[in-house]
Amino acid sequence: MIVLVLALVAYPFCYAIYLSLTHKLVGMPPIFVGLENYIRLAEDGFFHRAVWNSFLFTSASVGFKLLLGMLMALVLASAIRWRSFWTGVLLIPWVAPTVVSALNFLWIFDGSLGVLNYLVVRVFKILPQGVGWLSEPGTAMASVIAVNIWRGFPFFGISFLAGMKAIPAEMYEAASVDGANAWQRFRHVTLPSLKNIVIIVTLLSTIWTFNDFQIIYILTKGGPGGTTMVMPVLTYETAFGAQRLGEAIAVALYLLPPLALSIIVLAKYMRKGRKR
Amino acid sequence: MQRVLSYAVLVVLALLVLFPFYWMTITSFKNEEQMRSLTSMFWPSPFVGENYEQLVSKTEFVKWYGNSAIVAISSTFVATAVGTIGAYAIARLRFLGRGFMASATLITYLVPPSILFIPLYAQIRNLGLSNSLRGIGVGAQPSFHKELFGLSIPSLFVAGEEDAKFSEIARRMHRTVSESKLCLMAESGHAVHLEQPEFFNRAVLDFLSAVDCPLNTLQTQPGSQPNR
Repeated sequence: MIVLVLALVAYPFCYAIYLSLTHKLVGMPPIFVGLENYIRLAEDGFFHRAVWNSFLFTSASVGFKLLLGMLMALVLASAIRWRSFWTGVLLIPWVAPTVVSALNFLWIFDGSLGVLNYLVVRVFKILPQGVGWLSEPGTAMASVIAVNIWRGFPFFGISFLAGMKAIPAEMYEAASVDGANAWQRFRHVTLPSLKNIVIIVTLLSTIWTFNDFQIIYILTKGGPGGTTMVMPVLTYETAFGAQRLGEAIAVALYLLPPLALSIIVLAKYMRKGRKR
Repeated sequence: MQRVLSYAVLVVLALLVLFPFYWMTITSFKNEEQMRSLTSMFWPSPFVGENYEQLVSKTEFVKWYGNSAIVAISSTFVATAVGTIGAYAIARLRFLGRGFMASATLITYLVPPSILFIPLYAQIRNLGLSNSLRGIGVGAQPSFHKELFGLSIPSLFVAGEEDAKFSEIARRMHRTVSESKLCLMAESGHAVHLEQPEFFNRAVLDFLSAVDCPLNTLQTQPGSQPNR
């Protein structure tokens, strides 16, 4: 196990740090350049935009996933028939392969033949004419965020549902006897009991969303004009598009501080959860 | 009342979740013409299975499907084998660094894949596994850079000046191969022979007609004769 972790993670990770300090072209030996890659990136406007986009993409996606997931858990926990059926249906986006869903959305969002424009313009007549959802700077970011929310909210829902089932029914009864209405029961019984789960799930999703590559790469490749360029996509483009491996790893390593912070907080809460 | 609201929310969520899959499935039964027009949007007419036939008959889909199965089964098998043994060690055995190993395992799971894929790619390639199912890498060929030293036949290296990577490679190869000429084409990127066909042809012809001449670097400018 230790050997495997060392060989598959620790070694590549150290090699990555070394490469980030070099000028490395694919197929050529690396040339040591010190911190040059990091300094150049720190002054690069395109990189700045990718950082900002990463934060925007992550916070908007996670925020909506949290709300939708809570809604999903609440309706699934309420008195409904066929609960397993509804749970199964709502879980589909989470278990379907991301590549397939993303390619499907690429088509749905298509400016001229996509079904979204068809619905919006011809069926519901909300807009006078179609929108190039992924090709216009104004809507591209919102579209990729929507797909990320669509894919990720079931994870929130199912985790919250599991947490809600663990809350003893007596607590709700006691609250009802004390005259608490539905909102007050949610606010003062459900939420405090779910606090740890909410924090853990949010942090996990933040890490996954921050690292998300597939959805944006398939839908926009960071375009149009860099409006949806996030750091993982920039890493890939720099590495395999521009073939500047050293600089690409420097981009990826700039991801580390915020991620490390989330991971440390996450580890703290998970350990706390385990002890109780 | 509350139940009605629950069902309403469920139906809306289910529609949002299922519609993309419905759309994907019915589209797979449309022919080219229907896909390229806004007719029969929500139900294929005519309903055709030709996409599926073509997938099986014109591509190696069956083999790819098998590849997916091999990847899925073998990686799940190895992960389960290693995971259970490792979990047993962490949960039951007392040893130095046990807590550290437990946290480290979690943290490695969260390390951004974008940091690891480049070095992992290099590692896999060095092991000679790339583009084979065992390594699942992207294509690579063995490097012959070390063998260039022994090359003694006259050689010409052509690269576009704006293609930084290949200019650099050409320069280094030029330095390594004793009997070589270097031709860096100005105002050209990677596809020199397409972007500057005339100058490319001239460089090659000059090289071929002058293989006996003393060798040195040759630099061409569009609109001027290659000066030697």
